[in-house]
Amino acid sequence: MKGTLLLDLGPNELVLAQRKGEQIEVLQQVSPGWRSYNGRNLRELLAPLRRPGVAGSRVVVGLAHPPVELRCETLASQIPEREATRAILDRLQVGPESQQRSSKVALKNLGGSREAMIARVDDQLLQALVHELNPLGFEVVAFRPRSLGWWKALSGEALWLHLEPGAGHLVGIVRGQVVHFEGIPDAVEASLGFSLGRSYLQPDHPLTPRGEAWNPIRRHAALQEPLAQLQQRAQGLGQSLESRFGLPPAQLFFTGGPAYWPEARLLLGLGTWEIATPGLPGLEVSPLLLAQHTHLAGLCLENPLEWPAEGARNPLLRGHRGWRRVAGPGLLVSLLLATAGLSWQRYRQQQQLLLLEAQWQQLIPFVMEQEQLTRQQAGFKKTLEVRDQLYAQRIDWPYTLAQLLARIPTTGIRISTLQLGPGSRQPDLNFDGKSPRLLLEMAGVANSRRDLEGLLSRLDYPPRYAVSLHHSQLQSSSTRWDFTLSVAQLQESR
Amino acid sequence: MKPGLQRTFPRWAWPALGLGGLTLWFLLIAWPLYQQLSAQQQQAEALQTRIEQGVAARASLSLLRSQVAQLQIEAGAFEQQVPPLERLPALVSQLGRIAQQHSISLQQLGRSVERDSSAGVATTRIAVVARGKLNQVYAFWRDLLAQGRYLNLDRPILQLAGEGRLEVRFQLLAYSLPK
Repeated sequence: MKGTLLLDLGPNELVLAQRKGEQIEVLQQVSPGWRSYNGRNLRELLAPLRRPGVAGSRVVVGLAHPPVELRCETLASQIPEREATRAILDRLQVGPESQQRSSKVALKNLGGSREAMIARVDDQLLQALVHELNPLGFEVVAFRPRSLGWWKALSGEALWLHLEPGAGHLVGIVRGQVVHFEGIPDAVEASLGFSLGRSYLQPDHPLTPRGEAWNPIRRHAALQEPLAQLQQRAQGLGQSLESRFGLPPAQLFFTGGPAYWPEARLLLGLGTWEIATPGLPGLEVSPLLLAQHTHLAGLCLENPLEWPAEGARNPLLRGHRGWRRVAGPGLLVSLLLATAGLSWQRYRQQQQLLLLEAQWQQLIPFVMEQEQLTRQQAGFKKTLEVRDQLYAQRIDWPYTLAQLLARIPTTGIRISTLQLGPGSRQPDLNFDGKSPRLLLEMAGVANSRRDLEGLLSRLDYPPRYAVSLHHSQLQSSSTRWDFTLSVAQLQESR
Repeated sequence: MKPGLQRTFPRWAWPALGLGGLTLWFLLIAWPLYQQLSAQQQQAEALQTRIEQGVAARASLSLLRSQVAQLQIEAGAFEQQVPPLERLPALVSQLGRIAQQHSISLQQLGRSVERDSSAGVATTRIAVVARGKLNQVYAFWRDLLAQGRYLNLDRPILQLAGEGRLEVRFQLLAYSLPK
């Protein structure tokens, strides 16, 4: 695949290589490795990617599985602001003997399992890589050999090479089979125990030596028989490798198989070769440099196109899919919280309604009594309005008659007709815009004009009365005057 | 999740699933809850208003009771003065008795069919023609009106009838409360 790059993040050195045909070309090598990772060395490592002609689309990252205390150290160097991590870093400085105890304490202080801790370190490394490589157009594909799920995914189709020069061994997956290549014969035993007891096997795996992390696993009595079986298979594998690539046969060690890896359906093989690599001390064997000088790289990278295009979906890259990891549970939690909030609010309102209902029930009798009293009040008021209207219409006629008659002179005037009544009977009469309330119509005879004028002056006594003389006529052959007149009592006068 | 499954699961499915779940949650849970909350809020507000009215009613009951009692007394007194029935025979008998006491001769009695404008009461009109002296007429009217507030005079007309007597025409109004 054009532009497929290999990135080896070793504890002692960081190596960036590019495959060219059957060979691997080292583009950049930075020391120290992630033991002293500080971001700057990573950028230095990736600097060749910024040069023209190296652009590609995929960077393959092999993640090592070093002892957990080293992971803790890396974690501490990347997030030094955390107090707990600072404590880990401090304890890791005291020496190799105390590192194990310190790392255990550190793990306990951090509150996480070893698996979670390693995953966090891997995540951070990958996030840093993705942060650097994505702007350059590279897709990052990462593998963690501890993940049996990845082994399953790679089974039968993927070719994978992972090298750990710092630990002195080399691990590869060849067509679904794991091969462990060891470059240091004297350190084989320790390296096996290191890899199997502390990294590959889970702490609760039956093959994990209890309390003997460094105990050589091949000395374990329970492993003798499966080791022997696997040794035969590995020998066959080694022979096939030799026949295909011309590799010399080497002593093979087998450290497991399907019966001992319940999760894996892979045949695991462990082999150890003494590799003669000119100019490279055994302890400094770098996987990519090793691949440069052997045909193994050609084998392992035989068909990288078959690698699962899982870069974006790699669980180790979930930090860059964090929105998805957070969005689902976050949305769910938000919905649950919102539902709970609404339900709680409904419950509170129901309680409030019950309380208000109880208060209202206590007040109902008062309201009913008020309504009843209001109706009674309206009825009584209506009766009293009738009374007031009736009384307003009532005229004390005897008194009125006496008052008017008292104004009529006893001499000189003779009244023939006297009619009293409400003024409304003659609405055409208008006294200064005020309708009369009481109207007295009078007809009679005055002995003289002077008597008539005297009558008018006595009746016309404003503002209580207003007199209107309708008719007066001198009788023939006499001094008497016939007259008719009206006397009105004004509204406000009474 | 198996990698193969991851490969076949489209990326847009996650936002779509989230959006669908959000929509379902809104339609099936949030919106009904919100509706219930709104209804309960309206009920609470209505109840609160009623309670305030109830409290006000409880506070005003004592004053209202006293006011109604006072009105009841006044209305009762009025109803005692105004008979509930027409009682025409008794009225005529009363009219004749008072006229006799004041030497007023009743010339004519007739029931008027004229409509009355007084609202809320039934009115019986009796047209009366009587004769007597002025002082007798005066005393007759005064005694007639002193019988009660349910009696009234209307349109009195006085005319000279000779021999110092007056012919008096008036209408006697007798009020009664309707049933």
